[in-house]
Amino acid sequence: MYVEDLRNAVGKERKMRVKSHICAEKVPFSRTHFKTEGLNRGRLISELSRVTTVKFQPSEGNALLFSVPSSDKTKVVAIFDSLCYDYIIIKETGPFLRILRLLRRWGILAGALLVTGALCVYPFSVSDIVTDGECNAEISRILTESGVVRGAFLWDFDADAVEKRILSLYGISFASVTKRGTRVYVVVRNERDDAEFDTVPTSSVAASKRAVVTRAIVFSGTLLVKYGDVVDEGTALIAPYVLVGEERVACAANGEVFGKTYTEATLFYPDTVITREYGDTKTYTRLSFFGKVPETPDSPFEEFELSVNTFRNSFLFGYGVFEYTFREVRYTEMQNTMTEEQMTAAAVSSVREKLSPDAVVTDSIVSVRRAEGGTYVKVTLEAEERIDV
Amino acid sequence: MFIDEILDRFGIEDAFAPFTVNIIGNGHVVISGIKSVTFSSASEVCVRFSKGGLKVTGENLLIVQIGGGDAYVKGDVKGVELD
Repeated sequence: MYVEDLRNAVGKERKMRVKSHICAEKVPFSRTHFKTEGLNRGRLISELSRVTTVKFQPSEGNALLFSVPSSDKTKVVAIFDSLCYDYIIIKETGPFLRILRLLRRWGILAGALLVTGALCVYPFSVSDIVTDGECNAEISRILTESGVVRGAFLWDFDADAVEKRILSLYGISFASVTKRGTRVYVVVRNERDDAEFDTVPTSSVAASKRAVVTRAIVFSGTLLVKYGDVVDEGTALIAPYVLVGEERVACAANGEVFGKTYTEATLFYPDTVITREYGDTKTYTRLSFFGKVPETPDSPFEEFELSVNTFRNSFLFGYGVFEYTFREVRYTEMQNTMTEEQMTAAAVSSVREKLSPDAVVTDSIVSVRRAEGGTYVKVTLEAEERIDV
Repeated sequence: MFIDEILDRFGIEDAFAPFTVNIIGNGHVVISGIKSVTFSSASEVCVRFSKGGLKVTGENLLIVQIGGGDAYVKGDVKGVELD
């Protein structure tokens, strides 16, 4: 409504419509801008200056641009009318006027408030959760209970409390929870496995058999024997210390000690040997009820071996199946056809088996003696082997 | 106020100073005690006091503000002449 049209031909001025129907006269600190043309502007200025304070703006030609407080607009208009001046109200300005006009644009205002509210609220949201380390289900549960969930809002986020809860879990050595912007960073480190410690034996290395010491390799400790020493089983070979000056410093005893051992054995080879041979087999099956054991059938063989297999079924009144297998056994007397050399070799081989695999046989003494019913072969093996195991 | 200090130094009262003209540099003139503006253009501004008048000449003269008997004239002031 508040449109003042250009009524005079002052050129083709573009009409500027004041868009607001807000009454500027009632708004403090508002100014109304006028434009007019005409001669004898001195009189106009005088009249205007009597009723209000006028501020002039630079203008071209005969135009006169000035502004007055909006509260004096009616007075100015009255002066124009009394002097028959044509005038244009170009605009009305003022800080409060601008605000009032803005308030009329409720859509913009609502949008500005919405944006402001969103900007104020958004930093409290959780847009992403960045994890570093092994975050198991338990840690996820703690985060969820603390409100750290994508899309949630954390108004009062206590990162220290969440860290403490995570650290209280078993196997967690480090935890860090920080919120930077809208992201929550969770760093978790698990405890390392316990270190494995090697046990260091503190006992001496002792001889496992009687021997004559030949050589030794000491890894740690102090060798107590030398070449040619005769040691019995249990004799200490390497002591668990080293000498530093005159002081004994404890350490593990470790090493390899070799010595000559003598292994003796006497074997008897009879002239006749009774061997066992198996012949036919015969199987009998018996059925019994009510848990009874049937009588063993008679063997069809004079010499035999018997094996029995049973099967029981306890369903209802139950029954048992007994299977008797007779195997015929024949004993045959055979003559020992081994020669003396063969018996010697067998005896030596038999004694050799008693030695450790890495033993080196250095000498063997064999004596053969005939006796009633057979032959005695006595074997003595000299070997160098480890005597510390 | 500034004008009061000046009057006090001259030993005159306000009643004997019906108008004042302050020239600031060569681009600003402040006139007090105006009764009317007789002429105004870009080259000349004429005002009248209760007794006498004043003419400001120059180029691109503009009455920046006027009211309450005071006027502020800005521009390239060449001369200020009292009638």
